[in-house]
Amino acid sequence: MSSFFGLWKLVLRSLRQHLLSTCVTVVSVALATGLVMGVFAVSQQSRMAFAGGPLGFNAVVGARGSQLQLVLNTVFHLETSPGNVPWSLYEELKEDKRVELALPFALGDNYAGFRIVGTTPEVFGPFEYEKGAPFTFQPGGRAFDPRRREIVIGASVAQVTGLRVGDHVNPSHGVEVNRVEDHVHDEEFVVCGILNPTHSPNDRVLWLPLEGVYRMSGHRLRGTGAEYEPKDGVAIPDEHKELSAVLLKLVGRGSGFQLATKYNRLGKEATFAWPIGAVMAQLFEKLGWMASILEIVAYLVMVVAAASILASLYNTMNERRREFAILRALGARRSTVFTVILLEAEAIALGGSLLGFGVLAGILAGAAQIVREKTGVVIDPFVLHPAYLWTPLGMMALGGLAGLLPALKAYATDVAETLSGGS
Amino acid sequence: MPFLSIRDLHKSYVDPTGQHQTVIDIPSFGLESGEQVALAGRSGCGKTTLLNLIAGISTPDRGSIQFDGKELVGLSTGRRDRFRAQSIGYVFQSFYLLDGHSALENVLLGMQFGPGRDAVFATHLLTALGLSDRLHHRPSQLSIGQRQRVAVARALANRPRLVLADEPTGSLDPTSAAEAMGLLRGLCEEHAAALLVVSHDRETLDGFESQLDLAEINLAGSQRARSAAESPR
Repeated sequence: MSSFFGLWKLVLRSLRQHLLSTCVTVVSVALATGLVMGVFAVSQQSRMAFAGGPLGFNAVVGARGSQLQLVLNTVFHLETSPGNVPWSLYEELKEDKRVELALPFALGDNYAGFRIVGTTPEVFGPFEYEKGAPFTFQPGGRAFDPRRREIVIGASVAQVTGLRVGDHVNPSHGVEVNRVEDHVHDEEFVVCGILNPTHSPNDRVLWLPLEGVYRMSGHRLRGTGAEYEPKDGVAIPDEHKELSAVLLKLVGRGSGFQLATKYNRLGKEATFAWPIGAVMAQLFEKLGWMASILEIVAYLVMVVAAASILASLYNTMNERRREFAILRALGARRSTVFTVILLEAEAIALGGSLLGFGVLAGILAGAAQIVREKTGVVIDPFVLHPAYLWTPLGMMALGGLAGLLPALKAYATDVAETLSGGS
Repeated sequence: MPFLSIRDLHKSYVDPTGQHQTVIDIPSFGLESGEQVALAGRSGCGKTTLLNLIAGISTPDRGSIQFDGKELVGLSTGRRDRFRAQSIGYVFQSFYLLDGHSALENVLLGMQFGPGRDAVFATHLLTALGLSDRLHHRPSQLSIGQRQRVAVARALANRPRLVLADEPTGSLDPTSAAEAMGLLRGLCEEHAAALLVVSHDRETLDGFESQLDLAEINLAGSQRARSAAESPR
């Protein structure tokens, strides 16, 4: 009775004899399995990062328009603002008993491509960017004084620009990277604090007082419909003030339903984006077809990899007929040579699948780096996905199927004829 | 009853013209346990076919092959494979060693499908055949004579009760042939294995007390030989 160990030695020996073909096939299987696992993992983790995070606020109110655009612009600091809302809306929300915290945002400027957000000192507390997680400062930093030209910068901004506490910053107009035609404001802001990393889009933001935004040279306020240019030493009347959005922390779940009805169904001047996770989930649902196409492509790559296993084994069959005939003449059963070929296919599939985890690690590391650089959102490469189990198993099954044809050919080897028949 | 008993054995094949050609037609042949017999025969007289039939590699059209009282004809492929692995040692004309495996591994492979790998016994056999310093050499690194000795070791590895040898000295010079046959016969005797050698080499045959002409026991062979002799040139 041939032992499995003995068969395994035969398999390894054969794979080694055809080393180049084995290596190429293993690499193609590794790329296929890594790609499939990568597609599923990146898709899941992007969704978790954008739509599943435990935010410290529930809703965003902004100009009438797309909820998705509002959330992308306010929470993820992407896209452009859908427009402005009047200061009175902020005052109204601040006084609403269903609102625990209202945080005004005024957007529109950038520094070195990083967005600048005008807001109140409440952003550094009681506001929490995630549940139970307020912004904290690196040593030597503090919140800005709303009466001064001070600015607080996110961790990524500090890392990329090299800005330190005490440095001076001149904001540029617009939310995109500085372009030639963009206007660099005359006002200089002093960096008074650098935030600790939050691993969120907030790391790519500079925070300054609302007044600082309003009084920036070239800015015109249109809260009343007519243009108003703030003057030094003169308080800005509230009716001229405008905001890009207001972030809300609500009291209880019922508040969200009521406010959604009030602003989205009955009102006409503002959009109430709530719950934020659901709004982002809509984005992924809209892009679902793209994920499906990627998945289909990945599956096809797996089938191609299985075909490469078949080709690599089948191509060696003619030269190996003699080997099989000798084994059979020594007493190996047909099922034994059949098993040897199947094991070879499975060994290639297994080796490729294991190497596929290396490919997956590369894909995840690359994806995480790109997503973080572009959005500040951090995806966790160590989150497990069921695809990490069923992809290698699926590849093993495909490998087995691919090995069937060459295994049947080995099974059918005619010993006497192959060993040159009768004399 | 002989240890190996053959009765009314027929084997034919269809030639390219579609005609049935009888290769083996042996009314009776036997071999006693431990006996060493040499069968002489020219090329094409059915030597290899006969050995393949005895080893269960091929199946006859009809007839009987009994090994130690057990009928082999009619056994399933799997049972014939098992019988071959456990009871038969076969020294092929071209040795048929596996290129990617060392001398020792080739012998161990022979054991793998029989009672199991026994590296100690395999080494002992190779050492007895003068290959102690060639255990880990591959066939391509061995001389023809050394390859032949590896094939002998592999044939004896499973302690078979019958060793079949098909032109075992066909590729060797006379000195090496005599040495190889001496070793094969000595080891068969040592391990109480019967030996059936088929060859057309006179010097190989002369060493055997028991010699038979295959054409005498194989009616098909003699008929074909006569046909060949009578056919106009």
